Amino acid sequence: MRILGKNMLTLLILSIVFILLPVLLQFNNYYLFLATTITFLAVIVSSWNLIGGFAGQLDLAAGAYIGLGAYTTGTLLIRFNVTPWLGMIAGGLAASTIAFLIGYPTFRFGLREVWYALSSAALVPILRTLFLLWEDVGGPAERYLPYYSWSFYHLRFSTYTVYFYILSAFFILILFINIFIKRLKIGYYLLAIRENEEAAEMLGIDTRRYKLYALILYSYIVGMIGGLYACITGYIHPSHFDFWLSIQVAVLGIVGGLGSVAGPPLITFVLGGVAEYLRSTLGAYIEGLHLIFYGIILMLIILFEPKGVSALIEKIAYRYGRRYRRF
Amino acid sequence: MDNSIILSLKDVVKRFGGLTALNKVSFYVKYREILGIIGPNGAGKTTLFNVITGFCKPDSGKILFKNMDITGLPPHKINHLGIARTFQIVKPFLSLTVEDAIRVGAYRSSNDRRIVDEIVDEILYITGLADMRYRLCSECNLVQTKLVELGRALATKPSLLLIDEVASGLNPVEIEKVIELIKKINRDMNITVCVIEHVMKFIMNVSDRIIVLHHGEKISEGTPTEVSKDPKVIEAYLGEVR
Amino acid sequence: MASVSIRNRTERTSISKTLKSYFLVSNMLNLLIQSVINGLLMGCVYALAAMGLALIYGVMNIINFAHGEFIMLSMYLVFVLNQLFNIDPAFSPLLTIPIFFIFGMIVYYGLINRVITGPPLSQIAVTVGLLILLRNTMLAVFKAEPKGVPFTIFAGTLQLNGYVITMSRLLSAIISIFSLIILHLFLTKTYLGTTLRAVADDMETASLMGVNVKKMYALAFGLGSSLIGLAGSLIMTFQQVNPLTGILYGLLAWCIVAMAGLGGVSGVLLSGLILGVSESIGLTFWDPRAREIILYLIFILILWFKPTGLFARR
Repeated sequence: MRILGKNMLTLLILSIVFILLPVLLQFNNYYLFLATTITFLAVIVSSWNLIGGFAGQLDLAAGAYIGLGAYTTGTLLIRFNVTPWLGMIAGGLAASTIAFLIGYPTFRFGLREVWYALSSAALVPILRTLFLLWEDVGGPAERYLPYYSWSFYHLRFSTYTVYFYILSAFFILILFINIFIKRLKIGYYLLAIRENEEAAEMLGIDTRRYKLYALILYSYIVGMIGGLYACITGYIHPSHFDFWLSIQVAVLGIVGGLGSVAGPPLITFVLGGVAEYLRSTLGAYIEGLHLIFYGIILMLIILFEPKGVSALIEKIAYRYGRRYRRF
Repeated sequence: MDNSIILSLKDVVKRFGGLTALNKVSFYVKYREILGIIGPNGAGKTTLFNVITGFCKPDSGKILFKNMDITGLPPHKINHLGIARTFQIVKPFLSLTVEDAIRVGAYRSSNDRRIVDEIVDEILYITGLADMRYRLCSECNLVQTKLVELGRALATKPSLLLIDEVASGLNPVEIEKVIELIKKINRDMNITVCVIEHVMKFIMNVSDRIIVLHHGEKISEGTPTEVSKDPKVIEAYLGEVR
Repeated sequence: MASVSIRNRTERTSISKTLKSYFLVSNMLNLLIQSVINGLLMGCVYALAAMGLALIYGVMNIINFAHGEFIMLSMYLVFVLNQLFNIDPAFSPLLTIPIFFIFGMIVYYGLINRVITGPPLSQIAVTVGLLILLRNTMLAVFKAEPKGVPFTIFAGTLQLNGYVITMSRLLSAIISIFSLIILHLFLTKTYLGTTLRAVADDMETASLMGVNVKKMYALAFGLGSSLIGLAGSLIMTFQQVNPLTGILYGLLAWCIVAMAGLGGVSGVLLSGLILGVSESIGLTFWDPRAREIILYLIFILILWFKPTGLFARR
C-alpha cells in the first residue's frame, strides 16, 4: 500500500518479533504474564492516542471502558453462554455507547476541555459503585467465568500464550489504524482540532463530530480488550473499573508524545516494565509506589518537554541535520 | 433580494453583560469588492466578525449571506457555505508543518489527496511560502504565520474572506506584500474581501469602500476619500490618529 | 346486632388504614424534611469547599484537577494536628488557613506558574500528576482506614420539632456562610478584591491598566487554598477522612462550579445548597452508598442541558 510505505516493513518485523517472543521466552509463564500485561497496556495506550494524542482531549475513562467490556462479555458468557469472541464485540458496543453519552454534551464547540476530562475521570469510580450496588449483574463478590483449561469457545486457557497472541494481533492492528488515520483527512482534522480548536472550526471542521469519531473508535477497542481482560483474569468484579489504569494510560500517552505513533507504545514497554518491577519488588513495602513514580514522571515531563519523549527524540534528530521527520 | 450583494447585516445587536458591543449595525457587502472596516479600539469590529462567522450569537438582528439566513449557525457550517476568516490574535497549528496546516484547509474543498496536494501547492505559491513548506508553524515568524493563516483560509475556497487586523506588528515592506496579496486574492481569485484594520495607510490603499464603527455603531460609510473627510470620523479618532 | 358489629369493624379497619397511610406519608414527609435540613447544612460547607476552586478557576482559568486532594490534604492535616498537639478541629482553622495559604503559593510558583501559558492539556496533566502524588502519598502514610478526630467542641445535637440537627454540621454551616459573606465583601468592596475580579473578567485589559497579573494569580491561588484549609477543618468536625475522600470532594467542587458558572459567591452558595439537598434526598431515598452516583448524574445532566451554568453572568 502506497500510503504505508516503509511503515509496512516495520509492522512486518514487529509482527515477526511478537510471533517469536513466546518461543524466545521459552514459554515461561511469568515472563509471558509480563509480556501480556505490557502488551495489554500498549494496546490501550495506542488506542488512547486517537483521542488524546490526535484529538487532544484528555480522556481518563480507559478504566471505565475496560470494566464495561469485562462485565458485558462476562455476563453474556456466564448467563447466556455467548462466546467471548462475540461478547467482545458487544463489550465494545457498551463502552462506545457510554462514551458517546459523555462525549456528546461535552464536545460541544466552545465548551472547555476540562469538562470532558472531569466527566471521563468521574466515570470510573461511578461505574464501580454502580456495579457494586447492582446485585443482579455485579455485586461485591467476584463472578467467575466458567473454567476450562483449553477452550477457544470460552477463551479460557491455562497459559498466557494464546492471550498474548491475541493481544499482539490487536496491537499490530491499532498501530496500523494509527498510521492509517494520520495519513487521511480525519487525521489532519483531529490534529487541527488539537492544535487550535477555534481555527479548526473556522476551516469547516465540525469539531464535535470528529472528536466523537476518535472517541468511539478508541472506546470500542478498549471495550473489546476489556472483554478479553475478563477472560484472562477469569472473573468479573467492580475492581475491574480501575481509575489507576486510566491514569497510567493517559500518562504513558502524554509522556510518549501526543499524536506520535511509535512514542506511546515504546514508552509503555519501557516505563511499564519499570513500573511493574517497582510494584512487584518495593510495592509490597510502600503501597502505591509505582503510582507515585508515574505521578512524578508525568509532572517532570510536562514541565520540561510538554510534547513528550517523542518530541525530544525528534528534536535531537532534527538538530543533527536531518530534515524534520515525524516520529 | 439583491443579487449584487453577497453579505448583509440588518440591525445586529450584541450585548456582553452590561456592555453593548454592537448596536443595531446594518451594512452590506457587494460581490467582489474589498470592504474596509475601521474604528477606534473597542468599537466592536472583531465582535462583528465573531457574530458573522458564528463564534457568538447576536441578541437580535439578521445576517444574510448570498440571500441565506446564516444568523446563529455554527462556524463550521458557515465555512461550508463559503465564508472564511483570519483572526486578530493568530491561531497557528504550532506542531504541524506549514504545508500540513494548509492541507487542513484544503481538505474542506476535496477529499482526494491528489487534489488537496494541488491546492496546497497553489496556495504556497500564491502566498510565497513555498520554501517554508516543510518547516513547523512554530518556526514561522510573525508575517509568515499570518500568511499561513491566510493560506489556510484560502484553501477552503471561500467566496467571502474576512481578514482581521493582519497588518499589526508588520513592517512597511511586509505590509506592502500583504496588500499585494489581498488585491491578488480579490482580482484573480474573485473573492470578496472584508478587512478590519487599524493601520490607515493599509486600509485606505486596499479598500473600495469603507465603513466606520464607533461604540458599536456605524457612524460613516463611503469611499476612502469620503470617509477620511467625514467630520464624525475625525472626531471619533481624535486622539487616536496614527 | 351482627350487622351493626360488622359495620363497626369495617369502619374501624378503614379508619386504621387511613391512619396508617397518614402515618406513612407523614413519616415520608418527616424523612424528606430531615434530609432537606441535612442537605442545606451540608450545602453550605460544600459551597465553601467549592469556593476555592471557583476563585482559582474563575480568576486564572486554571484547571486544578487535584482540588479534591487539596481538601483531603487539609483534612489529614487537621487529623495530624489533633494527634500530635491535641488541637481541636474547631480551632484548627487558625493554623490551617495560613498554612494552606503558603502551600497554595508554593504550588503556584513551583508548578502552576510554569504551565499557565501552555495548552490546557498541560495544566490538566500537571495537576493530575499532583493528584496521583497526593493521593498515593496519603495512602502510603496513613493507610486505607478512615481517620477521624475523637472529640470536638462542636459535639452534640439539637432537637427542633422532632428533627435532629448535629451541632457540628450546624456550626460548620454557619461558619461557612459567614466566611462566604466575608469573601463576597472582600471581592466587591475592597480594592484588592475588585482588582482580582477585573483580572478574572479580562486579563489583558487589566494588565494594560497596570495590574501585576502574576501577583494577582498568586493571590487568587493562595486565597483559594486558604478557603480549602478552612473547609477541611470544618469537615473534620463531623466526618472522617480516607484516601478516597479526595474524589468525592473533587467531584462535588467541580459540580458546583459547573452549576454556578461565573455567578460569583452567591452562585456558588446557591449551587452548593441545591447540590447538598439533591444529594441528601438521593442518599435517604435510594442508597447511602450511592453518593457519588447521584452527584455524577446531576453533573452529567447539567452538562447535557445547561452547560453555561445555571447562574452564568454571560
